Amino acid sequence: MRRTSDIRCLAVILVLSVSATVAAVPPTGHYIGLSVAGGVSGMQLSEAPAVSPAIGGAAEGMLLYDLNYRGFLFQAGLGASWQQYGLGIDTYSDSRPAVDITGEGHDYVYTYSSLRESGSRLSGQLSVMAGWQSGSPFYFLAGMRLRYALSASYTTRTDLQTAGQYERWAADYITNRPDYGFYERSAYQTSGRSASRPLCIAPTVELGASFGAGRKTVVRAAVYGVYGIHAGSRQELPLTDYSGVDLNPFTQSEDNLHRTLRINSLTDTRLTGGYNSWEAGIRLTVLWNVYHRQEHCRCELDQ
Amino acid sequence: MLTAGGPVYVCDFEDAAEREQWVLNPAANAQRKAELNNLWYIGEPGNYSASGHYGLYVSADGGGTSDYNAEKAMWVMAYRALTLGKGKYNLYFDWQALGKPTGSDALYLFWIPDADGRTLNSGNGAGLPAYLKDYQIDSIPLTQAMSWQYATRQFESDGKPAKLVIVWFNGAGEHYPPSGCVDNIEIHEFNDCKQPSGISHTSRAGVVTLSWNGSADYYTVRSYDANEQKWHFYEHVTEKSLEIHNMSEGVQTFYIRSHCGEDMSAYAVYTPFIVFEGVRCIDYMTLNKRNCLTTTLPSKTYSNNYVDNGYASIVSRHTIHYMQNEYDPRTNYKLKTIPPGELASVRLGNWDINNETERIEYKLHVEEGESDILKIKYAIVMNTPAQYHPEVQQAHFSLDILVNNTQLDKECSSADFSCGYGDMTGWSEEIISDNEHVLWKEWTEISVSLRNYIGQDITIRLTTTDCAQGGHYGYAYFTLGCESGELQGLTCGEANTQFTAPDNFEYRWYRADNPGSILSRKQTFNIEPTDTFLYICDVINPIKPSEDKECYYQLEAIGLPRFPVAQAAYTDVPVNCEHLVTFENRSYVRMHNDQRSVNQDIVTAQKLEDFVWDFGDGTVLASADRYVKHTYPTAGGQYTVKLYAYMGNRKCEDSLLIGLDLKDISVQEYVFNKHLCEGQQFTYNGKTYFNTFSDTTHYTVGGGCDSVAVFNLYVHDLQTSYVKDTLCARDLPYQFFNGKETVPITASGTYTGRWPHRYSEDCSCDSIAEVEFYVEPRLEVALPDTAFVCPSAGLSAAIDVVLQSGRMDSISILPDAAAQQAGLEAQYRFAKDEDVILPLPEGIRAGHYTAVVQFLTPFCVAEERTVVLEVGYPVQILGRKEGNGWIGVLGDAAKEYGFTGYQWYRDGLPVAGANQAYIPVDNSDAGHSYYVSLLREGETTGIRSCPIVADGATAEKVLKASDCLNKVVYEGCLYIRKGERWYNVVGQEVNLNVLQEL
Repeated sequence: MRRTSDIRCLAVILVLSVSATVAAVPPTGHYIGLSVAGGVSGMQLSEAPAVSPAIGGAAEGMLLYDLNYRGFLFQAGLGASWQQYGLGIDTYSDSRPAVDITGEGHDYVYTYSSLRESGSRLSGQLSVMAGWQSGSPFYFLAGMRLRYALSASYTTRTDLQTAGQYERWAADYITNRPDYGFYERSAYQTSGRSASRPLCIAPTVELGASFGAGRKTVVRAAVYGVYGIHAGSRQELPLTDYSGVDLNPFTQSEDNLHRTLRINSLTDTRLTGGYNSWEAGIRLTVLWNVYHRQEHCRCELDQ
Repeated sequence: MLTAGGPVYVCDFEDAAEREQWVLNPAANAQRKAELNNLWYIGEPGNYSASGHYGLYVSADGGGTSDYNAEKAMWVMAYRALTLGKGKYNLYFDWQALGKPTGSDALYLFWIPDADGRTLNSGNGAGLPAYLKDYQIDSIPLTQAMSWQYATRQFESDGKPAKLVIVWFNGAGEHYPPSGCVDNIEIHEFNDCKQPSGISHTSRAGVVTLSWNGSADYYTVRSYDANEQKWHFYEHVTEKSLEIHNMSEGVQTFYIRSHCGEDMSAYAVYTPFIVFEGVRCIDYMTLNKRNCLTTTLPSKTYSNNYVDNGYASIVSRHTIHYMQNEYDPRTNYKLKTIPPGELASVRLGNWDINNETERIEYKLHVEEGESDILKIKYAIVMNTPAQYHPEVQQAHFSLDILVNNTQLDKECSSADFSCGYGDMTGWSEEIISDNEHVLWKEWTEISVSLRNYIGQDITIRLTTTDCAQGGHYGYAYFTLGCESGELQGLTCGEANTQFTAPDNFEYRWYRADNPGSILSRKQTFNIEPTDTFLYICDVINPIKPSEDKECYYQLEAIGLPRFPVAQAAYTDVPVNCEHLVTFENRSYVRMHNDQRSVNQDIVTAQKLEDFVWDFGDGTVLASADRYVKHTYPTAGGQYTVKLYAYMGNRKCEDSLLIGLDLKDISVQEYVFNKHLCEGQQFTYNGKTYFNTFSDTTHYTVGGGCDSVAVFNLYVHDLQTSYVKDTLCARDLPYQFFNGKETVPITASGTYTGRWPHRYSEDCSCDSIAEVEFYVEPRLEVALPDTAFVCPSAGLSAAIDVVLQSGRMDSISILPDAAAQQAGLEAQYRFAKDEDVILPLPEGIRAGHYTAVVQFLTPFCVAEERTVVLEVGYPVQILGRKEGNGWIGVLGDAAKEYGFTGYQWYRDGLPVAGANQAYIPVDNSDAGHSYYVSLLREGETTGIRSCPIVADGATAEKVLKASDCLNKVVYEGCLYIRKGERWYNVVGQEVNLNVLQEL
């Protein structure tokens, strides 16, 4: 399905590019404009072998100032961006010392499997880019975006089974004994907000073509890519939080565990190590010429 | 050397003193002697003695050869002075002298008394001195013998000194050596000892058997093999036949002399032509009434008729010419009657006229690679008028090949040889008179393909016909031979790059996949060593039936390396009471193509021709026959026969060992015994016997071995006996003869019978026998396959044995070696009513121990069963979780035993899915028994633990501080110690020093 979408995007770019070949080169001048973009995004993890990322969507919109002086392009923008991501861990275990209802000490073991986190982040962004376009409809822009997360939320789904590990018994784990606090495997879900690394500095490139009508309006179609370097304070929370869970062997229950078990975002734990983000997609820009510099013809002088 | 009663004079010229007694070449004076062209000498050219070097001979070259000079007529003398007693004497000697065919070149012998005063001188002249005629021993001159002859002569002595004179005379003109030669002179007193007569012979390969008539006391036989130049001597032969070995074929001369008391006769000389049958592919020199035929033109009906009066006779129509230096007179002695390299030739036809037609038919079984090419050497002599007859009327020599008297392909299975076809190559003409010519063809060799007849019996028909008008003769000489029609000169062990087709054909070489492109027309064809293409050679008969017709066969040539493979099988058949072993040679040629990735070795139909058989008893035989027979002794034995197969002049070799284990087939005695009881009778060889009797007969059984058959009849007295017998039920069903009939017994019980008298094994006869036959019931015992033992103090294993049927004396238990190694004894014995309880050693390790349980019965063979003692794990390895949560294997036990697998049982039944180290239980399981079957590392069968019972106790939910140092309830809260640290129930470490004190 994704492959089909990619092919469609390339086809659009191709059509736009071909169209651009017959369009006029934008005249020199000052422009203001509006751009919208959409594409895919994902996380790039370092030192996190147990965590696997998944691809999500991305979108942004900006108000622009654009200068075109004899082919040199300068562009500044202000807007917002939205990114979606996915992370997952196949198996994760956690344990704590405990006693059971008979008073026998043991390790109480939590075994998580198929842990999947999906999250999104809405940021405000400031963009500055410069580039070149001369003699042909094609142009390029490169620059930097500065983003700050206004909102970051996540939802985690996982299966959990609890068991006891006793020194006295040969069995590795005692399972499926709810009266001893050992519950069968069942699905758990928790949601929350992430506050880790809100600031993002993002180098950006854009390649595209200009087309449109007359000297007043310029339309640009381009492909772009953004690599987000996240910065800011880092949350080093444990993945699981049992602080709200009733651990008393005489009163604990599976229902209580479902209600009170909290799972933090992977981006707030050490499990993800360092992380950055990336996004790529298609941008459409509309510019209106607000000031046109008069070109003086020196043809006769030259002759 | 002279002996009493023997010859009075002997001279073989080997004794130097005797040689001195001979006077050679006497002449009137030295000048006359110098004028003599030929002189007598004593030396090697005149020798005809077995191991001698000297003989008397005439030579014109100073003694170098026995040739003479015939420029002028002359005579030359040699003599020996002798004084013999008065009386008659026999003179014997060997001689040879050819001389002119017509003329007086010859040897002459004279006995000249000294008293006559004759002067003996040699001299030149056209005739001998006239006086010699008076002393001539025999008037017949010795001449026209180019090989050694034996002469016998008589003369008379007056008892006074005389001379034995030998004279060589030759006229002027041509010289025909050898000149006169004389050796082995014997003079005997005249006696009545008669020569042997009626000498005949038979022959087989290398062996000639002579037979003769005579009445002598014994005989002396000598023979001279002219081909091998070897003498054979046999003294004191008392029989009138003699087998002489190592003879060769050809003209042989045999000398047989009679000995009568002290007298001896002259040698009787027998000079047959010896030819061995079976040593050629075609015995073309074997002529008889069966294969010789004649008719007279124009009749075409032939009748069996063998006409042979000797090769010199004009009458002979089927004859053999075997004199090596014979020339055909009708060709003015230009045509030799035997071709070079051949022993003899067959002459078909003669020089008589009158429309004679002769035919010889030979049978041949055509073997591939051995006799598929017929080689014919022939020469034709035909009489013709100066104006030749038309072709059809000329004399003809023709060849036809028939199968079942039918020519399959007339054009390619016949050939006609005459001069009438215009090709006069090889033909010569002698003009006898103006209108009488003789056309003759020099010896010619042709080959005829018999490839179309491989494996068949064919008839080779050769025919000569006189001219059709009846006035001119025609005959032909021929020899026949066979050779392989395969490619020649093939090498082995490496790629063949040169192929040579058989001789005397025309050739056409081409690649099998491109027959239209002729690559060569030569007999030999060369290819590159890497060439693996298949080539075809058309081997074309040069005698073409017509312009458009060719007769040819095809040979395949491929350059792949060839190797011999020795293969053979054998059969052993006793013949004449010996082992006649026939070996079948199945060897073949293997080709190797290393350019293939698979099937590199190719078995071909090509045959090998060089084999050596080592029969393992010291006999070695080189034979390419497919079937080789060898006789081994009657006593048989073990022999290792080796077959060596060679190729490429023994460049390549393969061998096969065949082990023979032959049994002793010598005289055997067979004894036949017949037992009767008193009152019974037996008829043997037509006679009826009532009493004990014995007879011995000698037989010659198969294979020619004698055997002795002894027949013994025993008649036994009648006795009365009672037979009581017992049978075990396990041997049922049993066919019981109760005296009247055979009753099948299938169940235990007692059976009785009443038998008539019969012979029994203890050589006695029953009169009436009461028979009681008891079938012991089968022992049936119920015994568990496995007896489980739970380890405990005073450990013992009780095996539940229940006797269900049959009788049992005792029980014996025999633990196997592994069980004994674990501490069990080698055997435990229990009385039949005793409980079977095995005391087990302390500390016996859990495991399966096997023992054989023998149930001993009073009569029958013990019944045996196998029981497995399963010594389980102690119940102490299990624990019940307080609160009845689960039953599990304790960790310490798991570490001690190293368990790797679990299967839980509830009340003896396996619980599905319960294959962990514990099994959950609850109050509903109270009172039920649980055990676990445990696997250890390397085990495939689990060993169970002793059972534990779920107690259904209620979990204690309030702990006391004194329960265990690891947990304490302090001021209503529960704390747990792990190591040296304390935790609350939520796993958080607490610092409660007071707990340490508790």
